Amino acid sequence: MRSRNWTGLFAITLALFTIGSDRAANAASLPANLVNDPVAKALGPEIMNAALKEGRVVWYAGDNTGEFFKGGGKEAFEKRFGIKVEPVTGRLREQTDKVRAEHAAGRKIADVFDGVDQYLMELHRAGALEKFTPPSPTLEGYDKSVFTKEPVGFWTPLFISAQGMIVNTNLVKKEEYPKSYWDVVNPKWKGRLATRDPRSAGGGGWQFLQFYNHPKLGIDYIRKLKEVVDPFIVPGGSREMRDAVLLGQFPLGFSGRPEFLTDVPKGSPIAYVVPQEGLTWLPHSTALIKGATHPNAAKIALTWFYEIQNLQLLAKEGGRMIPHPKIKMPIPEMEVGNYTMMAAIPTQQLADPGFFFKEMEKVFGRR
Amino acid sequence: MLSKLTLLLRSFARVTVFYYLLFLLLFLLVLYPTLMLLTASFFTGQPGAWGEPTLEGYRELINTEGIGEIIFNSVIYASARTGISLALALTFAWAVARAHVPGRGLMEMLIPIPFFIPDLLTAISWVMLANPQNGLINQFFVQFLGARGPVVNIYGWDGLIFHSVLHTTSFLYLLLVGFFYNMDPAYEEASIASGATPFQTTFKVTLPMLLPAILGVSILSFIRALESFEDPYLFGTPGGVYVFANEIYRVLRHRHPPQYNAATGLAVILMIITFVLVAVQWKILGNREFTTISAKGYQPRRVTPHRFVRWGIFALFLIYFALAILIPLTQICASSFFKVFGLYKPEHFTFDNWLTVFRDPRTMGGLRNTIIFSTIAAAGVIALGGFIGYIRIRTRHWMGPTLELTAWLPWTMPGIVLGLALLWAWISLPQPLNLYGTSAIVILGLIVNGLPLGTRTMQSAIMQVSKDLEECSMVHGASWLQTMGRIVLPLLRIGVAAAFVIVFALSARSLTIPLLLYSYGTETLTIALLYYYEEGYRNITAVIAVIQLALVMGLLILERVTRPRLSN
Repeated sequence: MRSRNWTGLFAITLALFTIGSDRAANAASLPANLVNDPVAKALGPEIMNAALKEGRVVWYAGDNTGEFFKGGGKEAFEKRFGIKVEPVTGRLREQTDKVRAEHAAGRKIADVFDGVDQYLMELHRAGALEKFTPPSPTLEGYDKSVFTKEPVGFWTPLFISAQGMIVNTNLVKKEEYPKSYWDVVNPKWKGRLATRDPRSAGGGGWQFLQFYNHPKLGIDYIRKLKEVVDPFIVPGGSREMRDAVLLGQFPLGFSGRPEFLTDVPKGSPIAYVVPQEGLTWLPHSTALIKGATHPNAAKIALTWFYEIQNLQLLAKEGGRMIPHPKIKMPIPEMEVGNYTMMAAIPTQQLADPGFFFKEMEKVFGRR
Repeated sequence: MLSKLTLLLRSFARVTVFYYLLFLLLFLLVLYPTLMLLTASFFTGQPGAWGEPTLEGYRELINTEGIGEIIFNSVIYASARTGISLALALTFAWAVARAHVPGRGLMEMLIPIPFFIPDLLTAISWVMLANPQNGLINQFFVQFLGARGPVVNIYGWDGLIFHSVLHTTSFLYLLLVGFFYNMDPAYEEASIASGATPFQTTFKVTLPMLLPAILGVSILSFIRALESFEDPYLFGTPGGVYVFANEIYRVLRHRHPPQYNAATGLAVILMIITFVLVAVQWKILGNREFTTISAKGYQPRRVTPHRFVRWGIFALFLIYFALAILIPLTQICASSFFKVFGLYKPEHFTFDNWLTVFRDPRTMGGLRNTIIFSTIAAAGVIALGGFIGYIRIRTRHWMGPTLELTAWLPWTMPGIVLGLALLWAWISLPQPLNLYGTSAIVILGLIVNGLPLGTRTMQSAIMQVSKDLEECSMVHGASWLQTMGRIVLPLLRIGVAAAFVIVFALSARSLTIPLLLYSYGTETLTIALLYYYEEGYRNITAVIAVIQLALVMGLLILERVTRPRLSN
């Protein structure tokens, strides 16, 4: 009996020693520049070594993250870790469809996905996401209240896409800037107010969903807006919307984004206005793809991405609002703390907004 | 004797097995995706995940999605596009082949060109020119003529019909001009001899004689209109005009979550409509639609219309040339060299857009993929089309018509429907047959898309090689393979080159096939073009459009240059 105990103890000791020596060997085999790297330390040498073997990571990125990689992020990551990062930018609806199709086909191309939370919810429902939270100390400083809380651990907060209104300063006097969203429900704006399409899953749809949920606006506001002003639905995305106001086709528009101010030549006749009801906004997060081809490299990339200097670069190049006290926005209009924010879209509505788009089709016509 | 018979039977069996293998291949490429699409329309799921059986998609289409409006819009659009284009094409074809009009040679040379220029390119150019937000024409009116708002709006019905007429006219002209050239002039001469005026002869003899051909190509044009995606998407969607193709795209890409059920339902309804129309068109036109060479050599009799008519037609041609070629191409080329879209001042001139594109992996990868995919697709279609054409024309085996019909089936499927069908089909197979995420799925899509036209072109080429030559070769002791290698294939080279150019051009300009099938690394040039267009990068879009134009036109010029050498 005693001899069996001794044997067991010996086996456990040997196992622990083996694991310990493996770790030591792994750490020792890391390239010198990575031995004390905070990301390598946070994730451990096994993951770091495996990531180095994988050698690349494919990141399905939103436009803003794409700008971050173009603006120096890609070069910085590759230089530091010797791992190639391939950012694939595209429309989020399309990127989501691609990830879902890859999951269904069992042929994983994307390792990392970043997008607005409703797309992450869709992918989570399809079982395409892996539970992973980057062990980054920066995350503790995030204002997590603005991000979707469930299901915890499948995605990580990144930034918010905020929208207010934009004004052509040549055509609208400062005293006429809307102080409340109700101010534009006025016949004088008829034919002069533009919006993105409130009937589809884009900037327009999500902004109007927050109007719909706002206690002082609601469906009555949207109906009145249509009845009194009949806003012109500008086809296309936010750039077309901005151009329509910038070039003076419309003096006033919804879906105004603060980063527009950094994206146009200096002195352009454009202003960003947030009425008293507050900003409308959507949370944007990152996630690791389940069964990713390069899971370890993806973990390294995600953990690295949340370092302060990278988030700072993202704020500058990507131009979105990062709710973290240490991140300085390029212009005051992009500081989250400067505005009232509307209440978050309820999780259920974010996951399945079909009812709302049908409601909008009733107001604005089906197509 | 017995052994000879055995050999013959074996050889027959071998040949028959080849026919069946060919049919199996076509089944996998064409029929299997069609059946999958049909089945998918009765399920709730998304590609790769079937979900529950349901009729909800159809019920919703009928009750809430307004299928009636979609059908009505589609019919109006296809009729207007076909009607106006037909009137223009008939005028030009008649003027070129049967009348004395000024600039006839120029017309003959330039009218076919819009057919070869990708629709997407000129459509994007016209959006840049005449959209109400920042279109150049509107900016000009606002800045220089004091207009208070947009003067022209390319979005909606006007733009949709206007642009589609520009390229459809060229397409119809190409189909009709051959009929005008090859018509036996004896009837017209008899009419003139009987005292009819040239005007009366044209309307009472020439046009009635061409009526079946006109009806046939009109139906063909109607089908193409129902299938087209680029114009409805670029002009219809922003103006709230929805026909089948852009509605399918809308429910897939602008609904959250995407409604595959409604999309497949719409696709099936459209397929049924086009299938019926193709059957009618076949019945009317038979094999004549691509016949431009007649056995007899006629010298067409030309009439000299009144000078108002002559100069009127010439003026019409100049307007057509300006709208279809000159203005859009100049605009898109100019945009590619300026920093800010619409600000054409010397200080804004730059090569930066070009440098950006040359450094952009999406575009350069897209260009490389387009060349590789289109080349493989063209080669694949030539091989498949050649076999099908040979079996159909040279044998009496019942499999011939079956193969031909199967190869023609994709003609009834618009690109976006075909893309959806292929996505469902290939994503549902287990590994390693599951081709999603590979280049193979895009290439197969392009092969299926090019099959109807490629097969017909190869069939025409085989028809032109007399069977006597093959028999003569075999009588002199050559084997079938030797006959093929030394007699038939060398004689087919011009037809093969023509089929290659047609399928390559079709593949290189295809947007709807790769749209649902591409993945990272398999993007084509059109996908890059659409991406930058949708994201609002106008100048980058212009550069990519110029590259695409150069690719297609370069190939056409190469074919023209090498044709005399091939003839020798």
